[in-house]
Amino acid sequence: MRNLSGSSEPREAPLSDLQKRLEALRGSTTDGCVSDFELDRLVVEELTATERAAIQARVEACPHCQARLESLLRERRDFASRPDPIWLGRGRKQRLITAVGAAVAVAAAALLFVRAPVEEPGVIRLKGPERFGFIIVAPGGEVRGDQDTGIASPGDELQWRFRTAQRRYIAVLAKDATGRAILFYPEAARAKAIEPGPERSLGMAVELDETLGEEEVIGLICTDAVALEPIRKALERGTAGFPAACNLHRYRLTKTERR
Amino acid sequence: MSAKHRKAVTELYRSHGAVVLRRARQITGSAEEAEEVLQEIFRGLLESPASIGRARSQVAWLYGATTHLCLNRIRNRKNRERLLRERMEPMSETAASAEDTAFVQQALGALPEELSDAFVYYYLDQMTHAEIAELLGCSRRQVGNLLERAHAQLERLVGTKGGTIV
Repeated sequence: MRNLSGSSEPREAPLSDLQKRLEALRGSTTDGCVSDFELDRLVVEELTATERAAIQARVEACPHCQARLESLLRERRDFASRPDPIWLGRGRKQRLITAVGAAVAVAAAALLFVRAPVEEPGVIRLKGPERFGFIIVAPGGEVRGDQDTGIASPGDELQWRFRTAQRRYIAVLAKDATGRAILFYPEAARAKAIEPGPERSLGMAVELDETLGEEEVIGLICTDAVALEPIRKALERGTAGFPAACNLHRYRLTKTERR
Repeated sequence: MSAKHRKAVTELYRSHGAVVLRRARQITGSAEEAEEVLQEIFRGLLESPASIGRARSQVAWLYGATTHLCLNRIRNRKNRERLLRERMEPMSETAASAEDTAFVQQALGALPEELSDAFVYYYLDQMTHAEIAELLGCSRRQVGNLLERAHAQLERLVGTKGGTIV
């Protein structure tokens, strides 16, 4: 390994603890290794033909670089399997709930889960203490309603809340008036683990976009970390696609112009 | 924002998002924060695409933006304290141990900006002096000097804090 000034002369003094820790960070990398920077440029096909040939030749001669390239390609495949986040595909904004937002949600929690959701055909009713719902928060912070009142306007926020008695996996999806299905939570390929406990926030809110009309909001609480993209596609197609491992919480939301 | 513009950013997210996410995890030591950095960068591009459009290399631009955002987060005292308390989440198979991750957070929190950039590129990205020089727009000799100064500053801090940096 080079010393920090860039020369390759051997060190005379023994390494300090700090030097040892710093050198350990660079692991088995040597001067001949291809850096992640160049490997990334290779993977995303940003290099010229000449540059690519030179990097590929160095990778072929370096087992460490080959393993690293494999790892980067694997990460890229994993990333590609994630659904696009909603803020990328549409005008909706998703955000982490701030301390103030969380306080609002806690104050509004009495609105939730006190009365049973209205019965609708096709809705699976849960037995026991497992619940999923949301509160509707106006831009000024006023709580307008919840999953049962179901009336909201563009710019309102939906703040997700849940409770479960056992470790479960959660996801939130919606199908808007245009028929498009969207994954609201989590921004990941699979449902996210939640721990047992009393009612609380998912810590994430979504701001409703300008699309008016009927929207379907679906909370899934599952025994497994189910894959979400097949569920989203099935929801969009209108075909049955909810895994048996999941309890389904389905609510209607009507989006109207704000008065 | 035009549909064409949104489509271009979406394509960039799909092709380059993994690069941002991996480096943000490496630098911040937190999978959750890395997701936030990923979102912040690409939402920023939706609002202001011209910045990357002028870059000679999109990977280089994303490296710089990721490093900048991550270091800002680490410098936030409250955030740094939280990071140090948290149990570090496992990253990729090639990532450093939790102890190394905590050490990196301490070092990055203690170093001034001009030194921490070079530190990230050299120790976390394992780039050569020449590559760092190209990214930072300076000479290889200057990169060597930056790393020497970072090293000296960390040695001083370790010496005065009895084995820890902060």
